[in-house]
This record gives sequence, C-alpha cells and structure tokens, in this order.
Amino acid sequence: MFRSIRDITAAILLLSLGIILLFSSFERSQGWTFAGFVYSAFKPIDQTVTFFENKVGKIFHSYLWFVGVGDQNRLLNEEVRRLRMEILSLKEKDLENKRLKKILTLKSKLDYPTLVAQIIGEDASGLFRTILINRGTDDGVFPDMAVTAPEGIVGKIIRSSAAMAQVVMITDPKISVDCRVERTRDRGLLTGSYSYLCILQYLNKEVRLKQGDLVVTSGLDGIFPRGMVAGTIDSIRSSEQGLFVEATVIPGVKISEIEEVIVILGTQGGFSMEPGLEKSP
Amino acid sequence: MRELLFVLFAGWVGLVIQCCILNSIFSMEIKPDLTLLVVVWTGLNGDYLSSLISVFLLGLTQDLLSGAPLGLFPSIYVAAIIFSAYVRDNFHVESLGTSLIITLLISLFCFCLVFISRWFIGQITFEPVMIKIVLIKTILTSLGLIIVKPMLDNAWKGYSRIVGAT
Repeated sequence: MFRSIRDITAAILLLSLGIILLFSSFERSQGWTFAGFVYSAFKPIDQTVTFFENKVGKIFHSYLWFVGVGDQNRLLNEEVRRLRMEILSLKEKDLENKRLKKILTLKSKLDYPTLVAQIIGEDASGLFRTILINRGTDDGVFPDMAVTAPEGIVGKIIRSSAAMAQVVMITDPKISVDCRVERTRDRGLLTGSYSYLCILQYLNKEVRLKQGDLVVTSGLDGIFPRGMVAGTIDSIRSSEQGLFVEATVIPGVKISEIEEVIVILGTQGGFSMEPGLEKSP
Repeated sequence: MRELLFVLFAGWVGLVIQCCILNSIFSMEIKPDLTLLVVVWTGLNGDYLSSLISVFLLGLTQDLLSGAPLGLFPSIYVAAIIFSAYVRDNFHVESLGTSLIITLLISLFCFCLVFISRWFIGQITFEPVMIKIVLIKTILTSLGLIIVKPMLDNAWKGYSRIVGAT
C-alpha cells in the first residue's frame, strides 16, 4: 500500500537528518552546539525526574518495603539470639574449663588416690548441711572419705550407694575436723555452725591469733590429710566455760560456688599420718 | 493403693524439686519444705491408713536425701498425719485459712523436732540462729501451701478421673 507524497517526503527528510547527524557526530564529539542545546534543554527535566525518582525510591526503600525489612529483622534477631546462646555456652565452657583446671591442679598436688565428682543435689530438708555427689560405691566412694575442692575442704562422706553419695559439709554442726592455725601452729577442733560459718574450738588461752590467719587440717583426725585449707580466722572469743578460746572461721569453700569436688579415696577408714603410707580403698 | 501411689509420686516430685531445682531458682538460704506440704495435704484430705504408709515411705526417702538420722522424718511425718487426722475429724478444715494454720503448726512442730533430736543426740548445741531458721522456714512453708494446695487438688482430681479413685 502506497502512502502520500507528504509521508514519503517526511520519512526521507528525517532519515537524511538522522544520517547527517550520525556522520557529523563522528567529527564533533565534543562541544557540538546541537548536542549542547539538546542537553541544556533536557538537563532540568532530567534533574527533576532524577530528583523525584530518588525521593520516591527512598520512600519505597524506607517505608513501603517494610515487609522485607521485617523478615530480615526477624532473621537477624534469631541470629542474634542464637549467637547470644552460643556466647553463653562458650562462657559456661570457659568457666567449666577454669574450674576443671583448678581441680586438676589440686588433684596432681595430692599424694592420695582421688576421684572428681559432680554435685547433683543439696539437702532435701534444708535443715542439714549436706550435698549429694554423683559417685558411689561403684567408683570406690565409701563413708568417712574426705571431700575437698581447690578452695578448701568440703566435708566427708556419710552415706554412699552404688551410684551416689552424701557428703556432710564442714558447716554442719555434726562434723569435727582436727585443725591447726597455719601461722602459730595452734591446734583446735573445727566444727560447723548453722550460720554457715565454722568454729575452731578448744584453742589454748594464750594463743595469739589474727583475723585472716589460715586454718589448715592437722591430719590427726584420720580423715583429712594434713595441710589442707579449711578457712580463715574471722573473730576470736572466750568459750562458754572460759577454759579455752574459740575462733569463728570463714570456710574457704563456698558451696554455692562450686560444682565439682574431689573425693580422697585413700582416706577410707583412716590413713597413716605419713603421706604415702595410707591404706588403699 | 491408688492414693498411696499418688502421694508417693507427689512427695517424690517435691523432694526432687527441693534437692535439685529449688536451690537454683530460690536464692534464699532458707527454703520452704515442699514434702511437708504434701504430707499436710495428705493428712487433711487422704485416707488415714494409706496416708500413714505413704508419708512413712516419703520420710524414709527424705532421711536418705538429707543428713537426718534414719527414722527421724518418718516419725515426724506420721505424727503430722495423726495430728491432721485429729484436726480433720474435729474441726472444719475446708477453708484455706484453716489449712494454713494447721500447716503452720505442723511445720513449727516438725522443724523444732529436727533441731531437738539433733541436740538430744549431741550433734548440735543451741544457737540463736536456729530460732530464726525455724520461724522463717515455718512461715515460708505455710505460705507455700497457697500455691501447692490448688496444684495438688487439681492433680488429684485429674488422677481420680484417670484411675477411678474417689
């Protein structure tokens, strides 16, 4: 189908103009007046459009695409929570590692066969000072064995079954441990008290004790080996009868802060005063 | 028999909570005695004979899980059942207030008896702090009944529906 002369003329003119422009652009790539004119004409429009595009884009990104951001936020929160849990777990492992290192250091220092046990429970009635540990007769744990921790002596075994044992702590009035004051070498009997402290009884009246003096086991009770830390002297007073003086002792070990203890297997039924000659379990 | 099993189970749950869980969630040194609450609840609600047997067994377990000499808690719990059965037979004990008073009296009796028995066998000498321990523990245990009693009532209702106990 043929178009009119006017249409054909217009098409030829425009095509020619295009070809002319095309060829002329090779020669004047910079500073060409026509291009400059076109650019100048388009610049404000282009700038305005770009400005609005940016603004609208920002609005879209900031507000209208909140659904995506919400999902991303949820995922990130989940990750933060997971990482926090991981950090807590690592911190817990780090603390456990430090505790076990302390236990191992003490274990290697002791001349007796020992066993590390975990505390699995405390006194059911709350009226006695006892704890339960996860080792029993199957592991060689029997009554009257000494139980200790890196910070100091814990107590002694009073009952044991195949899989667990009960330890009476040095803060229970039932227990008595023969002790010495490390600095002065004075001997006394350490017993528990319901105020979570210990009392060092039957000390000589002429004893010269100071607050902070270390109290260690004497090894003469046949249960605790010699030289183990029991606590530190807090205060001194005359006994009720007036024949002796007694001292309040802060126990070295705080039961709420320990999770593992060492059972000294060599002290079952008493041991020799000379380390190395104790009875084997 | 069904009642006995229920009381034993509830008591043992209480013991496990006291031994292993209560210390980590309760920062105080003195804590309520959940097993005693089970004993009081049994005394006020249960059949006399099965209550006696179940609390005796509970007491034995309590002895083994605490430093008590064997036989102390069974005796105390049996005495508590006798007392609560007497109260139930002679007074109206349905209200929470009455139960609280009975719990208070039984707790006071129980905790005092623990210290007296220890003193009697020469394990301890009197310390003023013991009075504080007994009083605080008694109050905490009695208040614990406000939470434990509805729980035990509901558990008993559910258990009765399942096993057909009355």
